[in-house]
Amino acid sequence: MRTLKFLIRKEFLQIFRNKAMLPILFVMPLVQLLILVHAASLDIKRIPVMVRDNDASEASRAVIRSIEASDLLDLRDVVSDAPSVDRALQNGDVTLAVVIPPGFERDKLRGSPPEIQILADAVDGLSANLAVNYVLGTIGATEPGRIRIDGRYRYNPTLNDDNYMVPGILVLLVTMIGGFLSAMNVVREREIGTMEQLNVTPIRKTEFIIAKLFPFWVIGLLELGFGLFIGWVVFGLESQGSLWLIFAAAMIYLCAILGFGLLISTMADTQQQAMLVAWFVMVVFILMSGLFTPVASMPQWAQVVTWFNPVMWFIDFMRRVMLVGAGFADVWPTFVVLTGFALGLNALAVARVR
Amino acid sequence: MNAFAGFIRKEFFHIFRDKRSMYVLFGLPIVQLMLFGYAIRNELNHADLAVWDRSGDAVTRELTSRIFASGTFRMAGVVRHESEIDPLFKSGRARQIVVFEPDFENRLMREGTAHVGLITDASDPNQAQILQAAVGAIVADVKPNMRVSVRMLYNPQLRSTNLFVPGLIAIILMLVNALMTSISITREKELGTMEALLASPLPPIQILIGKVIPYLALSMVNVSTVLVVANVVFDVPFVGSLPLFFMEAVLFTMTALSLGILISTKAKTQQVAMFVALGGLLLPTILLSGFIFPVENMAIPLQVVSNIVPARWFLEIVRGIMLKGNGLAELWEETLILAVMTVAFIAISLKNFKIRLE
Repeated sequence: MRTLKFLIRKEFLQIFRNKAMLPILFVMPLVQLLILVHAASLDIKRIPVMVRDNDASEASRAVIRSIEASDLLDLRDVVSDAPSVDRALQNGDVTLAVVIPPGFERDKLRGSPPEIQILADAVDGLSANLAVNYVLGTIGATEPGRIRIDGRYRYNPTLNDDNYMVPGILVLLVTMIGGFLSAMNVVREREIGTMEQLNVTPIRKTEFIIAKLFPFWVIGLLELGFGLFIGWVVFGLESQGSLWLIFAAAMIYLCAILGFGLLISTMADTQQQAMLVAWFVMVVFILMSGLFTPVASMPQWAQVVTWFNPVMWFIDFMRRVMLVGAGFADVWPTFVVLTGFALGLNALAVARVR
Repeated sequence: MNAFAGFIRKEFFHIFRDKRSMYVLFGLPIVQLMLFGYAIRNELNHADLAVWDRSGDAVTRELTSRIFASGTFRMAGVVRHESEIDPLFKSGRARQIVVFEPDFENRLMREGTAHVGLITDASDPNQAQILQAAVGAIVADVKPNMRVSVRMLYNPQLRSTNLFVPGLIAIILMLVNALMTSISITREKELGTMEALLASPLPPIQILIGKVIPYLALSMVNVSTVLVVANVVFDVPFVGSLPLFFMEAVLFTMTALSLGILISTKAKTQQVAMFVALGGLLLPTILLSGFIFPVENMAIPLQVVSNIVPARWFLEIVRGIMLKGNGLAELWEETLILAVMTVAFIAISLKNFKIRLE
C-alpha cells in the first residue's frame, strides 16, 4: 500500500512537471468544446437560391417575391438564360435554382397546374432534400392544405444544437485524453528504457499499473467536471438527470477506456505505433458511436456492431441522462455493459504486461 | 545527391520495417471506407414511431398505413393515454409520436381541416427536424398545386456515400501525414538521434524533405486505393479529371506534411506532438471541414474559423472534381489558398527549426 502511494505521487509529479502537457490536457479540449459544439448542425440557416424566369409575368414575379420574403432563402440572382444557372450551380454559388418556364401564368389562369422546375445541388443529399421541401413549402404557402401539422419538439423545444452536442463532444474529449494518454504511457517507459529499471524494483505488476492509470483516471474525471461546468456556464445546459449518476458511470467508463489504452500500450513497441493503433480504433469508435450520424440510420448488422463500442454506450447514456432526465431505472443496462468492458479490457491488458 | 538518396532510402526502411504500423496505415483507409459505404448513413432509416390514434376512423387508419408503407419507419407501439408518451421517449423506444385528434374524419369532412400532432424527441435536433419534415410530408401533401419536377444534380440518388468519400480522403490525408511527420521528427529529438543527423553533411532542408517523402508516396497509394474501392465497390462516380485530382492531392498532402513539420519544431516530446496533431486536429478536421455538417449551416463566426482548416478547402476541391466535374477554372481559389497555407507553414517551420544544440 505504501509503495502504491509513493508510486502514484511519482506519476502525478511526472505529469505536472511537464509544462507543455498541462495546457494541452486541459485548455485544448475545453477550447474545442466551446467552438465545436456549434459546428454540428444540419439546421439550414440560409439557402442561396437563383431563379431563372422565362415567363416574366405577374404570376412568376409572385413566386420570386415569395422567395425573396423568406428568411431561409437567399435570392442571389434572377436570370433568363440556362448557362448562367449551370455556371452558378457548378461554382457552388447557389445550391438551388428554380426554373419558371414560359406559359406559367397562362396555365395558372386556365386553371391547369402550371409547371415549375427545381434544380438542386445534391452532393449533400440530405440537405438538398430539406432545401427542396422548404422551397416547395414557400412557393406553395398560399394554397391551404387540408390536413394541418402541429409539430412539437420535446426535451429541446427550441431545437438548440448546442444542448445536443455538449454531452457527446464532452465524452469524446474525455475518451481521447484518457485513451491516448494511457496508450502512450507504458510503451514510453519501454522505449526510453526505464521499464527495465522498474522491473528490477520490488514493485508488483498490479501496483505498477494502478499507479500508472490512477492519475489519468483523476484527470479524466476532472476534465468531465470542467466540461459540465462550462456547458452550464456558457451554454446554460443543466443536466436533467442526476450528476451523481453521471459521475458514477464516468468512473466505470474511464476504467474501461484506460484499460483499452493500456492494452494498446502493451502490444506496441514504440510510441508512434501505439499512437497509430489508438488513433485507428478511436476513429472507428467515434464514427460508430452515433455522435454525428444516428445509430438508428445504420443497417441492422452495423447496429449490432455498435454494441461492442463503449463510446456509443456512454454517449447514449449521457444524452439520455442530461437531456431527457433518465434515472438509474432507465439506464441500468449501461452500467452493466460498462462494468463488463472495464473488467474485460483491464484483465486482458494486465495479462499482457510483462 | 547520393547522400540524400541514401537518406530517403533509410527513411523508407524505417517506416516499412514496422509491420504493425504498416497494417494500420494501409488498413485504416479501407476499414473507414467500408464503414462509410456500408454502415454510416445520415439519411433517415428505420426511425421508430408510435401512434396515438384518438379517433380510430377510416382516414386515420389510412394515414397510419401510408406512413409505415414507405418502409422508412418502424412501428414502436400504440399509445392509448398521454401518460404513456414519456416512458416511450425516456427508454428510447420511440423517436416520435403521431397523434390524430378525436373525431378526425368528421372534422376533415365538415370543417375542411383536421389536425395531426407530431411529438418528436428533439434531444437530437437534427434528426428531429428531418423526422418532422419526412412524416409531415407523408401526412399532408406539401406540394403546391403545380406540376413540380425536381432534379437532384451531381448525386441523383442522394447517397450519403458520395458525400462522405471525398471527406474521408481529406481526413485520412490530413491526419496520417500531420501525425506521422510530427512524431517521426520529434522522435529523433527525443531519442537524441536528431543531433547525429544534424552533424551529418546533409543540409537541414534535405533532412526534412527526406523525412516527408516516404509519407507523400504512402499517401498517394492510400488515395488510389480509396478511389478504386469507392468506385468499384460503392459506385461512387468520378466525373472530373484524374490528373488534376492527383495534383491537388499532392498539394494537400504537402499542406498536411508541412503542418506536421511545424508541430514538430515546437514540440519537445512525441507525446506533445501527438496530442497536438491528433487531439488538436481530429475533431476540427471532422467538424469544421464540412465533412458531415455543411459549413453553410454554421454560425458566421464559426464559418470564419473554418477558413483556417485546410481540409475544408480540399473537401471542396475533391467534391468539385469527383461529383461535379469541376476544373481549375472553378477551383483555382481553393487551390491557391492551400498553396499559400503550405508556403506559410514551411516558412514558419524554417524560422523555428533549430540546427544548434540548446
